[in-house]
Amino acid sequence: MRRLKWLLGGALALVSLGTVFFLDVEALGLVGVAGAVILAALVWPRLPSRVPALVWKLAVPAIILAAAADFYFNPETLPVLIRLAILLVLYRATAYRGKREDLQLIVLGLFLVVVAGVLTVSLGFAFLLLLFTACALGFLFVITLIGAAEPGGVAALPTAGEAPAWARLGWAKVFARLRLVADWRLLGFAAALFAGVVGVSALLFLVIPRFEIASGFFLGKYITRKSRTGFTETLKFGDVSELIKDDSVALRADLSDATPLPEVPYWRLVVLDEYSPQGFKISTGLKNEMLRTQRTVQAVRGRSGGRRITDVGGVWTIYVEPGVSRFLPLPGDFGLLRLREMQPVQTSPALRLAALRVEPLTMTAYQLDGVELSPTLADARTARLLAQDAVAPGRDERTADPRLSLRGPPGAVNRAVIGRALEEITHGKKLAAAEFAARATAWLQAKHAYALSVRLPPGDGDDIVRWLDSNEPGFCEYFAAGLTVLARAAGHPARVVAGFHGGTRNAFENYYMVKNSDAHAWVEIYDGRGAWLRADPTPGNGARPGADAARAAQQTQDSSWSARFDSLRVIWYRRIVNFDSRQQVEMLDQVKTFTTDSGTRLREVLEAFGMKLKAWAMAPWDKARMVRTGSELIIGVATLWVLVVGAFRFRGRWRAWRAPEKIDPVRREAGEHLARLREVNAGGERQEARGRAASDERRVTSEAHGGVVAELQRLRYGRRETWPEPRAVFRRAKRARSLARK
Amino acid sequence: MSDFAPATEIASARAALARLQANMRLTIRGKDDVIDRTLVCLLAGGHLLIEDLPGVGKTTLAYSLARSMDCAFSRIQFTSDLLPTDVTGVSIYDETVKEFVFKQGPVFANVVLADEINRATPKTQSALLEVMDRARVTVDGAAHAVGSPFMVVATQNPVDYEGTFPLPESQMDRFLMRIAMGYPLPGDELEILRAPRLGYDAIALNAVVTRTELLQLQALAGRGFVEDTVLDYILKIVTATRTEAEFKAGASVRGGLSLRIAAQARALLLGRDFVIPEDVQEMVAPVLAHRLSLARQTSDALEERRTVVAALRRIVAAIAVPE
Repeated sequence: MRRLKWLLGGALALVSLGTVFFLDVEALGLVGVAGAVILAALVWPRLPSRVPALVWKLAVPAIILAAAADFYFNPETLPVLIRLAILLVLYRATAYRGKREDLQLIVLGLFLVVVAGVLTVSLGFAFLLLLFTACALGFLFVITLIGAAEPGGVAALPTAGEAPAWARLGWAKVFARLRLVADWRLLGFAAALFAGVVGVSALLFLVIPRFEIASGFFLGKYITRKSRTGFTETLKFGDVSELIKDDSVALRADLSDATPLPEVPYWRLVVLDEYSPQGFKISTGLKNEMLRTQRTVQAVRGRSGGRRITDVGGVWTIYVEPGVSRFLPLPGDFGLLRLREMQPVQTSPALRLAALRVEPLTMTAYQLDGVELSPTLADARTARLLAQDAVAPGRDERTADPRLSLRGPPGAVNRAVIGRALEEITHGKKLAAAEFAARATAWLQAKHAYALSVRLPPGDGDDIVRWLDSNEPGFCEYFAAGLTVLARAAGHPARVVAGFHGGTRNAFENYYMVKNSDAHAWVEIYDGRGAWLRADPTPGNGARPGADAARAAQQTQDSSWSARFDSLRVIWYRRIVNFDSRQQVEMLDQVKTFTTDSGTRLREVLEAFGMKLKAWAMAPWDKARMVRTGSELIIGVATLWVLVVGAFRFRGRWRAWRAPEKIDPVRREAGEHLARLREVNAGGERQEARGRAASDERRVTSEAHGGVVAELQRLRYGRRETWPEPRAVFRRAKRARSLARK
Repeated sequence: MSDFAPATEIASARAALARLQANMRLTIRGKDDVIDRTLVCLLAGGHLLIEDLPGVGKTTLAYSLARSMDCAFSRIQFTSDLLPTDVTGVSIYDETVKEFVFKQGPVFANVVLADEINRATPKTQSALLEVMDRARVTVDGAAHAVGSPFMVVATQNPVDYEGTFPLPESQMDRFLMRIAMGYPLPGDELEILRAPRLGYDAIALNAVVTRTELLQLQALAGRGFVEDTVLDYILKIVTATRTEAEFKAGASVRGGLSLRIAAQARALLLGRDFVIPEDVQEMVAPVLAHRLSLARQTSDALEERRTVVAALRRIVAAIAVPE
């Protein structure tokens, strides 16, 4: 039994430590060490007794000192508290415990679980919480059992030097004993209890209005970021390929229309218009422009209406994991973007970008409708801006300057290389943007293969120019940057776009999983007539529309176990994400009106009843009324009597039904009488003389009604042939009891 | 014989037992519970192991029990050089009849006091084994029945282990009960000190129960009624010892049987022809404690005894009494 308790306590501690993994508190090393130690103590329960007593004695002061030092060096309260809790859990889980220590362990574990639960609302956490519930229930049950088995005395805690008896038992023996005492009724009861707790929590979860818990707290910064650095305002060479190594899901797109998409969407996140030697970045002007559009809204209108559109996928609900970007991935033109709540949003209608003010710390969800997947992007403004004069240096950078999208690497060395390349591509002709993109892509792909790592040849020029000049393989950023540089040199405004391309369709629920490994970069080239064309120079990606369509037709379906698990997460998201905050308000209102209404109604009913009573009391008494009242009273009392007697009968039947062992009713009744008599006697004895070591039976027989007890015992335990008349004995027993009470 | 005893039979049994109790109280002062347990063991037809320090009245108890009955009594002082034949007897060649005749050993008696049983070699100890179990001695292929009733009262000192051979568990299991004497209360001890004479010669007791009566009492005890729920209670207690982590192994089936017969005997001693749960509770410690050994090492034997009894008490308290 104690071994079981040990096992459950350890499991509890491990589960609560596991929840810390969801937090970002720089305690993972500590958690790892603590987890390993607890696990070791769990498997070899004798270990704690091997630790010298001095260590145990010093442990508590050491923990306090560590926490104090931690607090001194870290002004933030929460991580310190969590680290302290981890240490305490470690201490409690590895030392031998009494009842008090067990309860402490539960409270500590609960602290960790609750903190983690408030800060992260994730599926894995719910699973851990479920585990914790099961462990805690079993643990409490075992504690209670042990408490019941040792009435009165608190068993002395073993000193550190010796292992208690249960710790010496082999595991095989423990499980053999467990199997011996395991009872289907007990297991059924435990299962029912667990199911009940989970059911009630599920019910509460479904019934209570949904609130954004995490956003109300200041603790957001501790929530862990699982993915690697996502997309930001600059894209250095290597950023995307770094992302590609991360196989976790970055976003999920839940489509209301189940028909497969005609093509694999390009998820646009950022548009990088300014060239820098390390890579591309968003120009200050563009940033400022977006900043000025910032409004606190819940919905953003995308394209202006009036145009005939071919939208796909119905309503797209997109769940973006934390840490991807503050920019919202958009698959193309959209009609309306809806967020879950009012929050500051920056948009750029011209660039088809939308961004939040800061990078969200939790999962971000938004809905799009009227989504259009199109390789071109209409833009009326660029032509007008391009027509203006050249940018003056030092001009206030309040708006994006499309002329930046013509700037390539400066310097004669770079220009020479690019000029040579252009000569090879265009042979000196002036080509249209689409034609140029196709030829340049062909040229790039002929010269460079695709690889995830790049060795740049030494030289004078910028990185991208050296790469262009070489035959080295590259990855999407190089291809995209290369094409952009070439296009700019050829006089076509061009920009790098980064985002995701790809994704697999989940076979279990109708949604697309886009992973961080689907990160991609491509190019948009201005065609000079008010539209930006998408060009993807990376080998193996959508340069050929035909191949792309074919790929889309047999869109990769993921039906693996991980996909199954992932689909659970989407079901969870669908449940917790609510795009209509009005619903919440309404529900709250309903609850409020219900409570107030019922209160007023109850008061009304009471008042009406009071009035009636008053009227009844005021009414004059005459003979007929007295007779009527009297008979009513009699009938009422009689009914009550019948009910009470019936209830007693029913109780008897119920007991008989509940105790299906074939125990004789006379024996049972005699047993009940005996027990009651003993209670009465015990009460009397306690008052008279304390500490008399007489056994129960002798004490009872020494009383005046000892004879009755003997007869009752005979009825209860004796041979049936020797029984006295039961009814007479029971009557005497009742009398003796009332006598003893006096 | 009918299955249940008439009330008159119970009453006469109660009277005979009261005589025995009163007689033994003359020599064993202030130890009524020890006398009661001894009598329970006698009624149950079991063997008794008395374990305590030297000089607290172990031998006196056995002696006064034997003297109170009209029975043959013999005493064997166990030493390390005692031989099995010294216990059971030996076949010797008789010149006059020209054949081997069996010369009975001290074990051929009704009450055998095996003093300091753990001082003998295991070989000699085990010679007692068959006698205790089957109440007969087999020498040279011939079985010789020992007296009936037959009861072995063994004593041993639990503390002084120097030069002893602790009884193996199999032999422990053959004793129905193990009891300890304990020191008498100061008042009783004063009375003992006042007694003019010393030694076993001072024990001048008259037999108050005949051999036939005793056999009848034993038969009567075996017929005490045990209700089904009480049997179930016994079973639960015995099973619980098998799942208790403190013990190396649980009580045997023989342990359960012994608990039943001891409870029956106690019921008879208290003048009942049926067993109540309290009979069982009272008998758990003396009947089961010596059959259980701890899973861990303890500092000394007394410590182990105490721990086992405490664990048993815990087990009994945890099991619901059939009401």
